[in-house]
Amino acid sequence: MIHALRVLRAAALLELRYLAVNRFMLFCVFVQPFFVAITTMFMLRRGTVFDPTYVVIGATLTGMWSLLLFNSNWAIGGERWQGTLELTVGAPTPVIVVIAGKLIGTTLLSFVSMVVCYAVGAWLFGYSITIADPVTFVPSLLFMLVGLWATAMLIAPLGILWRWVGQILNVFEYPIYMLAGFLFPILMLPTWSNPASWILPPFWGATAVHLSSSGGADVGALLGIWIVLLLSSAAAVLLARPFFGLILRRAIADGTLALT
Amino acid sequence: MVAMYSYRGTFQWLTPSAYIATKVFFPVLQMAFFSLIGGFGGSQPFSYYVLGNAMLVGYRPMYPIATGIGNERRLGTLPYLIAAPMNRASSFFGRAVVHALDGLTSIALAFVIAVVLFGLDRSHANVLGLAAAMCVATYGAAAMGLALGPAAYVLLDASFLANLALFALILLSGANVPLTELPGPLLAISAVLPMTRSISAARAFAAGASWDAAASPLVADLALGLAWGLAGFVILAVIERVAISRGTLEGV
Repeated sequence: MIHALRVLRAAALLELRYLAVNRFMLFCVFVQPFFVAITTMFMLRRGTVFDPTYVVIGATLTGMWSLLLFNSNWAIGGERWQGTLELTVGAPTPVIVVIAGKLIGTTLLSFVSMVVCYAVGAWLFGYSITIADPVTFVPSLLFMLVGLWATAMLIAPLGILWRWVGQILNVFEYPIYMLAGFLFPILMLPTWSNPASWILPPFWGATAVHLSSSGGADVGALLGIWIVLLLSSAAAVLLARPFFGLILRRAIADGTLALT
Repeated sequence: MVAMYSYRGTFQWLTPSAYIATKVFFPVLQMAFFSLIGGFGGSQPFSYYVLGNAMLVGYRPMYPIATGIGNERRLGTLPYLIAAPMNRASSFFGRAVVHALDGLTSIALAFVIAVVLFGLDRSHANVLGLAAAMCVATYGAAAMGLALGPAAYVLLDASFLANLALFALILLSGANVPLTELPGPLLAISAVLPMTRSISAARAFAAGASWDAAASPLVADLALGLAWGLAGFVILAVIERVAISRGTLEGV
């Protein structure tokens, strides 16, 4: 257990260093949520339902999800391109632990989006960004991070197993923005799409942070949302495990760990 | 030849799934996302956002054209391109042609979806005018890509620049935010974007405006697109001369 935690920590720190010099990923964390926040502020601020805190949180979630989506889809493929996949697989630590650590690092960096979006709302537009219920907001935020991380864990092995899935996954930015209700409620979507929202941890995460920031739900209701969020997150990680096993079996059987 | 090989070679859509994901799904989903935000709480009617974002799908050729020069360098083919005994202008502008034509299919599909799924009203539309606006918007985006490509050669990251340009278009072209809402400095940037007037012309044509009433913005965007394209050509010529004299054509 201690060994696994050390690996998680080392992988997370190494990933943070890697991401700190990756221009595309930095774009996802800094520039994209900045533009999404400004555009949405301009679009909604003359409307009747405008809440700047809602926009700041929604835009933050878009930046977090984009970073996690792209980096999880590249988490294993990147090792292969750098020639380190064989070493990772050959090490006594399971690959899933290493990838979990990398995605913890990614999740931590994605949190920077919140600072960027807060700056847009509070400083650029001069709105008062207030959290109605800070006591429930903090756990909501933490559980939402867990939910995003768990979803990224499920995505990580898929693109390497089926290349076409990896290509399709890269356009899953906007579908999750919409299905998870980051910047508008899923009531805007057709009802047949609602079950897809309900199985997504990001949907429950977004619901929890939006409700606790606006004070729109009591602790009892939020408790129910947190439980569903954590259960769906656990299900995503459990679902990911056999895919990681499949990667190893296929790579060993086909001899396709390295590209050369 | 340049147009076809540039399209097939330097932009790496080697599988149908990648093509469909990048060319069809992504722009249409982006259109849906921003339209629904507007529909949720925007101050304009829902059709305002649907039409603006459908027009914005015309940005699609900008990205592959902008990354083209960088790809030539990364793949090691830039020196051959520079040394080839061919007309430099046809080589430069030619690489945009198929991407631009391909972009027209994306914007056309976006409008089909806007009508079928989002109920965009076309009963009063001047269809020919609307089609012209779609063509000019796509041309403007392609021209912007031609300028961004050589600029990215200096700044070393075409992808970053193209994404930045895309978000500038989303914010400043009038697709999502009425131009009257923008403060002065942002309005000035909006004025030099080569899709701003096409989008406002498309709104007029969709409402049934005649050619005479709404064609002049399209002419302005045509001229602006030409300026963007020529700027790219000049930047590339300067870069080429400097890079050859310093021996840095392939490197940084």
